Amino acid sequence: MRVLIYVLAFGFYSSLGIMAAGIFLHLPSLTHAGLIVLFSTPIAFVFVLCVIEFMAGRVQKALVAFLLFLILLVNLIFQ
Amino acid sequence: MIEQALALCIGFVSSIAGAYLGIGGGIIIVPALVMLLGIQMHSAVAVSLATIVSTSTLVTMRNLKKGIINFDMGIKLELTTALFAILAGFFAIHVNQALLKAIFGAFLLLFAIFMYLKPEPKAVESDSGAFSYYDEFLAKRVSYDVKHPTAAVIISSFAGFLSGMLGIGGGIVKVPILNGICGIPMKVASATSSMMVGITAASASLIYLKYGYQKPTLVLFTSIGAIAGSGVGLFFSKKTRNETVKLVFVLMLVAVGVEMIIKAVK
Repeated sequence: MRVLIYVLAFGFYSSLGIMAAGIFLHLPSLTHAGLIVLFSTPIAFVFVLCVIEFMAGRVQKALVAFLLFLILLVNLIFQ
Repeated sequence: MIEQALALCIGFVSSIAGAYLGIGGGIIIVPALVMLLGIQMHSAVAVSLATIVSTSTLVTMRNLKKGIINFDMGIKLELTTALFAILAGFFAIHVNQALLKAIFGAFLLLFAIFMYLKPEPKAVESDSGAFSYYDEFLAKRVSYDVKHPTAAVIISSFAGFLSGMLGIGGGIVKVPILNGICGIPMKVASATSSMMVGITAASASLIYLKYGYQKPTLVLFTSIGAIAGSGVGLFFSKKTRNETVKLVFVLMLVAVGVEMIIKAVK
C-alpha cells in the first residue's frame, strides 16, 4: 500500500509545483500540464492498485480494477 | 489577492466536509465560487471538480496509512457508478431534468430515513468479520462483514445513472450505499467514498479542461487550502463516533434531498 501513497503524493505535489511554476512564469502550457498531472493521478492510482492486486494473486480483484482503469482510459481518450 | 485568499478559504472549508463525511464538497464549492467570486457556473463546476480531486488525493493518502479503505467494495461500486454515469451523459439532453431532480431528491430522502433507522455495526474486537480496521476513537480493532454486495452494485448503477444525468452526487450517493446497504461502518464508508469521488471527479475534470473552463490559479489556491482542511476533517473524524458522523451525514442528505425537490417543483 506504500506504493499507492507514493503515487498519490508524487502526483499531487508535483502537479501543484508545476501549476505554481506555470502561473509564476506566465507559461499557460506548463499550468495546463500541471492540471493534467493532477487529473491523471487517480487514474494512475487505479492502475497501480490493479498491478498490486495481480502481484498478490488476487486475480479477480485485479480484473475489476483493470476494467475500471479501461473505462477511465476510454473516457479520457473519447473526451 | 482577495480572490486567491477566498479560494484558499473555500478549499479549506470544503475539504473539511470532504474528509469528515466522504463527500466531494461540490455542494459547498460551487455556490461559494459563484456567490463570493462571481465566476461563471461552468468554471465554478470545473474548479470544484479539480478541488475534489485534490481533497480526495490528500484524504486517501492519509486513510491508506490507517488501512481504513475497503478497496474491494470501492472499486466494484466505482466500476458501475462510473460506467452508468458516463452512459447517462448520452441520455441527459433527452430527459426532463425537473422530473429527474424530484426522483433524485426522493431517493436521497429515502436513503436518509434508511440510514437513520439502520443501526451501526457493533464494534467487535475479534477478527470474526471478513474486513477490519482500527478505530482511533474506540481505541480498538473493529471487524465487519460486507452485506448484499450484488444489491449494492445494482443500486449504485442506478445511482450513477441519476448522478450522471444531473451532474452531481459523488459521495452523497456512495456513502449511503456503503453504509446503509452493505453495512460498512460509517468511517470506512466515508474513507472509501473519498477515494471513489476523486476517481469520478478526475475523469469529469478532463472534459472541462478540454473546453477551457478550468481556472488554474483558483485550483492551485483551493488545493493548498485543501491540504490544511483535509487534516482538520480527519482530526474531527478521529475524535468522533461512527454514529455522530452518520447523523451529520443524514442531516446533510435531508437538506440536499429537500433542496432538489424544491428546485424540481419551481
